Amino acid sequence: MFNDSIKKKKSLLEIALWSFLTFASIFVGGILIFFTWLIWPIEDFDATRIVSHESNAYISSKLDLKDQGIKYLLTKIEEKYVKNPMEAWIISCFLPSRISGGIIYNTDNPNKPNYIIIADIGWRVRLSSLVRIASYYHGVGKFIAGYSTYNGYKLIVFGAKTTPIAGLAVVQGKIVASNNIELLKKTLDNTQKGSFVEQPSINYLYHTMSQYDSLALINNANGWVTNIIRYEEDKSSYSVFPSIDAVNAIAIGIDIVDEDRINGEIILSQYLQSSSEMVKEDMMFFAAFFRRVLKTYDVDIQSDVTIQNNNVHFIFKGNGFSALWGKL
Amino acid sequence: MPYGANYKRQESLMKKVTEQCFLITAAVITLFITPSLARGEEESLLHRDTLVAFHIINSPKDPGVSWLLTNWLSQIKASKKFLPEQKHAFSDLFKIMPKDIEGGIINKDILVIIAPVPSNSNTLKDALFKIIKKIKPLEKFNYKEYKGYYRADETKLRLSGFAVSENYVILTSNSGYIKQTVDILKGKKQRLSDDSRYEEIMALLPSKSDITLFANNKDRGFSKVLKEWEKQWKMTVFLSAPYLDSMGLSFDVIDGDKIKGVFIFKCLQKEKIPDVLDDAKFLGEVFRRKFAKEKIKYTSNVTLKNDFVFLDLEASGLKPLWVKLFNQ
Repeated sequence: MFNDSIKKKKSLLEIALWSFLTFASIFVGGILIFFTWLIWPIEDFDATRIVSHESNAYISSKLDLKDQGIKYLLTKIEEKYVKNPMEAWIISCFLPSRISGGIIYNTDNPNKPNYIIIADIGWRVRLSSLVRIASYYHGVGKFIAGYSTYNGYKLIVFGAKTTPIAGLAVVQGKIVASNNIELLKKTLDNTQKGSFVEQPSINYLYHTMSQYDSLALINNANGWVTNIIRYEEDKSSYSVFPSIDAVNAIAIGIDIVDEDRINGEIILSQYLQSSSEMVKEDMMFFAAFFRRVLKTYDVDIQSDVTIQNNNVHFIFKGNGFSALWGKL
Repeated sequence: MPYGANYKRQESLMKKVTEQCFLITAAVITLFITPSLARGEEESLLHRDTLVAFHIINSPKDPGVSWLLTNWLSQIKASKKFLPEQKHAFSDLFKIMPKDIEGGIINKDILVIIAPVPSNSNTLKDALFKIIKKIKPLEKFNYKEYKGYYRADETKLRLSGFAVSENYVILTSNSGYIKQTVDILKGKKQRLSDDSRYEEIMALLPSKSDITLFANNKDRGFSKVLKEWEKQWKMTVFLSAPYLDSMGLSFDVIDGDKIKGVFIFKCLQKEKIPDVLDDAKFLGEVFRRKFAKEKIKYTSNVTLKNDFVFLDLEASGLKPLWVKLFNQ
């Protein structure tokens, strides 16, 4: 009788142990599967593909924390604007590896261009459903007007007019946002069509300047930059950039080397090689002008202006930015 | 998208710098028209420590200066900034304007103007009294044979007091400095013309000119004054200012339409001459771009002669620009 009782207890213990081990395995396995799923490389694409050829400008900036200059700048921004350590941690978790975007000049309202912002966040995009959870938090929820689906993409629509974005969608490893819902939808439609950087005038500049951490490409083929400059010149009665008519596209590349140094390059690409001297003259004037403006903030700029085929290259190296960052 | 803000900033800075240059020139031309000390042949009335000295020759036979004065006066009469009695005072003052007017900036803050007293000294005193007076009553000034008035609310570089003797009229932004000026005039010691820098630059400037300006960079005096102005302009116009020994400027207003001028820069160190050349070229370019937009014909040339850097410039078609400046 006594032996039976011991046997019974033993078998119960065995059952409990096995049950525990089974549940523990399932739990650990589940966690492992979840994290494997979470960090499994996501199918992704080049962000330039969804910046439409209708854009007037393209901007891109790497946010690589291994880069000394970027890290310094982001730390400064964090110190200035993020006071709560939890917020700082969340931001660092969701920090995109690159931010890029396209700008469409709005002729009806030149001060309010339409734009698309693309944040590369890779596998962390799988946590995007957390946005829906966060929307129950009053601080976030008050901005979100609703959720919808467009062309298979889930859209989050922001209601407040004061927010810089009207809506966003997740496209593979990217968050795509815009200040104009129609533009956002058009961008989602355009995923496989002609992009801004594929245009012949831009393509060369894009490949030549892609080594820079931050890049801006401006297409002046329809003369929108020319119109702005002419308007400002007339307003101020000053001839700043008389050769702008000859400029087809502009590229600006910048590397923040460290807290004190910035290297960069500007390329002015012309329709005709014959205009290069005229454009070079303007570029040299800008170089001299900015050198003098920055000198006021104790920043020294060393630069060189050269002509290569249809392009005027302005290469510069700046020292003494640390004080300027502080002021900014 | 940096185009808007940066471009506007660049335009407005350019505008500020060029307009300041023109305003100084215009003010210098118009404010001072009296008897004197033809440049290079007589001694200066200013103290040796003057950082920036100017000299204006108001010859009634000179069609350029006469045209400018007539137009300036008509703009004053049309202006709402002045009271009717002040407008009358300006009218009276312009009629008896001395042939030679000398002035300068001392210790960064003090502006002084000295001119021989015209035959009708009572008209001069009355006119100056009305022009200087604002709301509060003027304080009396009496020192040696000089008598005059000054405003208690003095601000730096703004004329706020005057004193008249049988020989000279002194206007200054600092009532305390009137006494010092009187002593300098009486003592004939420590004059600016005793400074070898002044002699050297003045000897190089053309003998026939309506306005001359001398900037003394002894102990970096001029570059310190310039730095103050540059802070307001938010631009370092002369990168090479700390390496300058002295600077001269001469303008000949040929008629209402045409002006001819020369800047002369003397460098402290030979190895810094390329920097001074660069500054001179930039200055020429700043003018060229302003004039290009105003449809003014302009030519300039930078040369190096015996370690002195010369910027020669000539402009015609200036009438509309003068009118615009007087209207400000």
